[in-house]
Amino acid sequence: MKIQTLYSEVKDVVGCIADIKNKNTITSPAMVLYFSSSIFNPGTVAYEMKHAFPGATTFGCTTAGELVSGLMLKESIVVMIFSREVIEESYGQFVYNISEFNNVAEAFKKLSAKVGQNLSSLPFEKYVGMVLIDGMSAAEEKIMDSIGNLSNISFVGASAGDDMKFKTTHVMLDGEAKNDSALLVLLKPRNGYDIIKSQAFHITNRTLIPTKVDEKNRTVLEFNDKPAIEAYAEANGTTVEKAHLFFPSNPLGLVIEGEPFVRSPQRIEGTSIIFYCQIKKGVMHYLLEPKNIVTTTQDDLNSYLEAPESISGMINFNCIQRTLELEKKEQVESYGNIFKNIPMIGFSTYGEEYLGHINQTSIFLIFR
Amino acid sequence: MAGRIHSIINQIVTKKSNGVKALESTTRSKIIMKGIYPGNYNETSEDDPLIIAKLRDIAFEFQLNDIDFY
Repeated sequence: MKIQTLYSEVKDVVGCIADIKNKNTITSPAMVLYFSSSIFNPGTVAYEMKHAFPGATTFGCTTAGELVSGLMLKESIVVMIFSREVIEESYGQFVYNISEFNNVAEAFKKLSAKVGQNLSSLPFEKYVGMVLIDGMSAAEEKIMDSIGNLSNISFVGASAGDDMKFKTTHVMLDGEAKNDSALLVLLKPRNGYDIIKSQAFHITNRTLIPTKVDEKNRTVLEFNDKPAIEAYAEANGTTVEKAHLFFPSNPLGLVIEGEPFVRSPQRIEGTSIIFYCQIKKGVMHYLLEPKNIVTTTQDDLNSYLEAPESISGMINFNCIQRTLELEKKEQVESYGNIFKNIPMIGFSTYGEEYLGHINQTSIFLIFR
Repeated sequence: MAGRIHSIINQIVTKKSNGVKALESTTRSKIIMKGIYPGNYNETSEDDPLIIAKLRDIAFEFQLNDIDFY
């Protein structure tokens, strides 16, 4: 077996990880990735996971719900165990104090030392990075921007969750759990990889240009030289009073090569709109309209779903807002069923990372 | 003067991508994420000093030292 996906809903953390270890059939795994509900003590999860798989790189984060082949779970731990047939090399490094500082360059130096050569000299097509970020840090944009500056290797991932308590999230590596930190993991898959971005939105021809922004605080004060909420309401053909009702279904899209990179409005403050990610001044954004999450996911993953034997495993970084939408529309089972024949784990995230920080999206990292 | 922005963007894309075609699209996407749409500029676009200053910042962030800004 190349990759094994496991989960446990045992509520005591030691018992939960012992349950997972007992179910594992891969001897001497190269790497163990796990996503853990925040009901479990993250320090204990990290420690027990490293002790259960001492020869492997073990890493993961806390979640707002877990996914495993065919199921969407709560209060569980899901695990993907990678054999050495799939992963040739893996290196992990924390980035510390991310809310206040930008320590990505320093973390890259440490990672380069572990690899034995500068990351910028590695063949970008042979390596892929995973990035897990404290979901309460609001530091995702600067982390992703710095990664993109320093490397041509693709880094994908997500912001950790805490079961929608919005207090503390953790990232974990080789026995340690940290908050106010990000985790970079550099991988050399033996048989290659693919990255798929999926979002259930249609791009309309209605545009909003941010003309006054407070970028650091993810706030737009004005679109099209009008108070932000007024311009957003107008674009949706509604009133200012009702505009917030359109937030989940009608986010904005930064459109790159015909693909929307979703920017989700979070709340109104005065006449400004606070988003779940930074918005750049002067860059045109398109109003988005909703599509069906289940069918768009099936369409985007079609070639893999038709030939599940062509892939070894899949990681699904799925936005919590998508999970809430699936729950509201009673589509949780249908969504889970998409992956029933694929070794997949994932989690409900507080934001997704691909080229930048994005919202209401699923990022899939697929191992061939 | 016109066309400098177009020229600078092309240099940044080529140098950041090390001339690898497969990376050019990713590099253009990174530039968009930083707030500049490369597709908005061509040989006849006005030399807006604010955009050129922003491109200087981007070249610095990408650690590219040999871009001709003039």
